[in-house]
Amino acid sequence: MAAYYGGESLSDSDIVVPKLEGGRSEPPTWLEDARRELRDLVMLETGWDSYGALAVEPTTIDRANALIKRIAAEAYFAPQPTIVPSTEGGVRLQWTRGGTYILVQVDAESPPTLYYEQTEGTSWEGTLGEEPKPLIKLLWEAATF
Amino acid sequence: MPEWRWPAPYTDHLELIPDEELLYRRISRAWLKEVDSEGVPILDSQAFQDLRLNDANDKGYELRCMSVGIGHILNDHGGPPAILGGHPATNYGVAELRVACIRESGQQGIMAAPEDGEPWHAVVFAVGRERRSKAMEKAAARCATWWQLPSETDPDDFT
Repeated sequence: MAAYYGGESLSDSDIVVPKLEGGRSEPPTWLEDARRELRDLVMLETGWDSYGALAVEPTTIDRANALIKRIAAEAYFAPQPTIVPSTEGGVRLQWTRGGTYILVQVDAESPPTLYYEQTEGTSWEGTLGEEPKPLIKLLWEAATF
Repeated sequence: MPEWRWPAPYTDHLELIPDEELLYRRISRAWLKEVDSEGVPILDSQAFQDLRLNDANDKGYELRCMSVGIGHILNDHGGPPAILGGHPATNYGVAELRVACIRESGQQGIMAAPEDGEPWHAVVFAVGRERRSKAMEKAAARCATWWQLPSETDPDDFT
């Protein structure tokens, strides 16, 4: 995978993502917007939230970019994620559609984490790739509610 | 690192901060990316994250927690805008949280924790855990409404 916004590039194997089925030749229209929003996060300085939040490092943006590209390629139906910084210098990708809320947090070093909740009362939080309902199914449900 | 540290586990101050109380919290524009059907920025879970552990420790807290201001004490010091302190109102809004709602699940408590120059300061913490979960952040977001949006904002700024 090509380097992105400074820092070292990450191979796909650096990101733990459940194996997604499908794929398509054209990336979703939101991909460039999402990558621009990611780039913008690097402008935040430490303390940006007024409570001591860390700046988002380029390497973290690289990791988030790798994950977004993979989602865009393999879960082509996924809605555009909302991209916001975390207080720990990470990046949060969020989807809120219908009764599904999905949050993937990408940090500088630790594996990405996933939290999701759905209207029927189901919720789960843990390391991405270990979730009982695969991310691709969650994204599909968010896209087709 | 301060010599005096807040005792942990934290205590839910039910009398100092009764269920009828309101809490206030600064909200960075960086967290505002989506708007509702009326163009108002949505307060979502990202705006209710804990302090980083290092920052919590530097302030004398053993465990992670989320800073807030206690409404009735803020009212004695100029009202909720006082929580902005020197932070520019163009970059920060103020959210209002209902205490009863925060406590509803029994998973989150609120401890009064006055700091220098901020007698209204308190922390929201996870009961029986080292940090608040993503579910607790989301629950806090459901308890929140805008008291004051960041000033001079254009709805397009949030989309």
